[in-house]
Amino acid sequence: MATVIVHKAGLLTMVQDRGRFGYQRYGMPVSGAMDVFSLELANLLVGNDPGDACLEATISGPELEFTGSTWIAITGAVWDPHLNGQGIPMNTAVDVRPGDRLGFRGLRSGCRTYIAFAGGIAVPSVMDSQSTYLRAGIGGFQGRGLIQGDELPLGTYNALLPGNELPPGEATDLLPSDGLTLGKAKRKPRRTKIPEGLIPEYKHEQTIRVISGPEVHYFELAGLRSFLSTEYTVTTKSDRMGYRLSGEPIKHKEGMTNIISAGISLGTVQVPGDGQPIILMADRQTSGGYARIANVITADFTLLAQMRPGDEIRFTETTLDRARLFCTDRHRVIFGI
Amino acid sequence: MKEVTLKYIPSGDSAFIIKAGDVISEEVNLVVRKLLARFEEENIPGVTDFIPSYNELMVCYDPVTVDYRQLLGIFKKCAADLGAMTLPDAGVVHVPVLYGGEEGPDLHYVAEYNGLAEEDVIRIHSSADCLVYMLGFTPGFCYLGGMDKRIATPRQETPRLKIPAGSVGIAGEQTGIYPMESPGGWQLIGLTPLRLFNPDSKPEFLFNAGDYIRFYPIDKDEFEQIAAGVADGTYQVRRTQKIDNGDGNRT
Repeated sequence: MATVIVHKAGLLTMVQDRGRFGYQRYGMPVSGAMDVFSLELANLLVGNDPGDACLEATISGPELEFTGSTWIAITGAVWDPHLNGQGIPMNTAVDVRPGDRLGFRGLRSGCRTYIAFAGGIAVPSVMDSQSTYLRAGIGGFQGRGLIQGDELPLGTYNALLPGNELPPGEATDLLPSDGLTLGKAKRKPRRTKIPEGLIPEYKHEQTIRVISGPEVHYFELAGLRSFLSTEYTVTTKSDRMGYRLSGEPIKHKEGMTNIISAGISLGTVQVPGDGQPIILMADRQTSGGYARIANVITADFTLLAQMRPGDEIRFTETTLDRARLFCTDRHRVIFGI
Repeated sequence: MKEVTLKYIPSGDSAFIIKAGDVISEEVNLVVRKLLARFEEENIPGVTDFIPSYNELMVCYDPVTVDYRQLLGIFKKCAADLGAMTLPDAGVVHVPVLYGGEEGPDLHYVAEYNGLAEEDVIRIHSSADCLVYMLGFTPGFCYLGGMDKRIATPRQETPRLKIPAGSVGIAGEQTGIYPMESPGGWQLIGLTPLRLFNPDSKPEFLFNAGDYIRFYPIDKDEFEQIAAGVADGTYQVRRTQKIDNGDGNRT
């Protein structure tokens, strides 16, 4: 089985798939990739199912050595990735061979990088997902971020299926992946490169679209005006659980700050008493007690997930119908390429 | 059951809430649990998660595969026959607690604050059945109702940095159990050897929304015995049926 040896882990590099669904009623967060769009693109390039597990690297890139042959694809934050010192393209399927070393230099934009491997990553599934949930120490590689010296097992992919191009490598890679639940790369990737126009530009100022939330009526008109017409900065107190923003305080109506603890969904914008909004992200707790002013739309998550502390957000309102259109249009484009 | 007006409100493009009321009450919460039970029967495609809370049910869905309006249609149809629905008897989960000592360092304070003896606090705490209104905050954490106000005690002014998993505490008029080691400000009165959350067992969680918890005191020896049984998977948690599930339908 091919593995990846971790020579440098980077700031925070861990296994994430699309997320752990079905357990939120027990208080278990979904986790999963922050930028699901980039995760899906990376997987599609190497012939995996779109929601399969990849490595998610935050702000700094890892240095990895391959012990076997496989295909990889790098998406998300924009770098100059290199293989044995030679530059390789992003958003492109690249074949790697035993002994190859992958590294990253010069982060140009964005925050989170996804590395997909043909056949996925062979770590156990915990509660139906391979995602790492750091706070409970479950999923992913031993429930934690990667550290130097780790050897990450990769899934095998069925190289014998018609049309699958083989990177030249060990004979073991030619064995079909029978009986393996992991290693789902069963098909030849539809395309080995993503057209540039499909990749959004990660800027330091972004307009993020929202739909009004269940407690929008808890806020003064002036508060709603602040929310929709001034800029909010992503603070350093932002992580996979949520982005704490700072900017013009959003005024609640008198005494209408808290609600009876209730569910939170991906992208819920909560406003605690100090008026500074919090956007709930992948590792969000399942319930909360602050008024929910709005919700970021699914289509804009790829932009939001690539923002770093210091970046600025301007919120703009859209409708549920339009949000769905943005979402399905993009889906059609990705899966149609 | 009284006719209830349900409010459907979007929470972004991948979830919506169904609001059953504006208060914390067993009656409102029962409607939430009935909705959940009813929808689960239906196995509605595209739905990824349900998050029941005190007075709401959040429904999470995949916006690529399902349309909100279609989904809403299905849910409204299901909710229409809710009045005729009865839930099975609620379960009572019996939770052993080693009260006081190192395991419950604040038992003395809780007693003193309420002008009671420590034994009274233990007796009062272990005599009421507490409804699990919802789970949330951290994996396996239960929001419980039904604690006797005579032992209500404010949170600690300075939260502890590390509270062991299984700690039983009081915060204001609420009691609860820490499912995982975490920081926190609750007054700790004891420790249960049970595991509220174990990702390697099936089911992974000890409690469901709608269960009742009945605490009972154990001594150090019993604690060790149960802890050993929990560790090697031989301990059977005691579960009984509650006769009145709050539905008004005695069975």
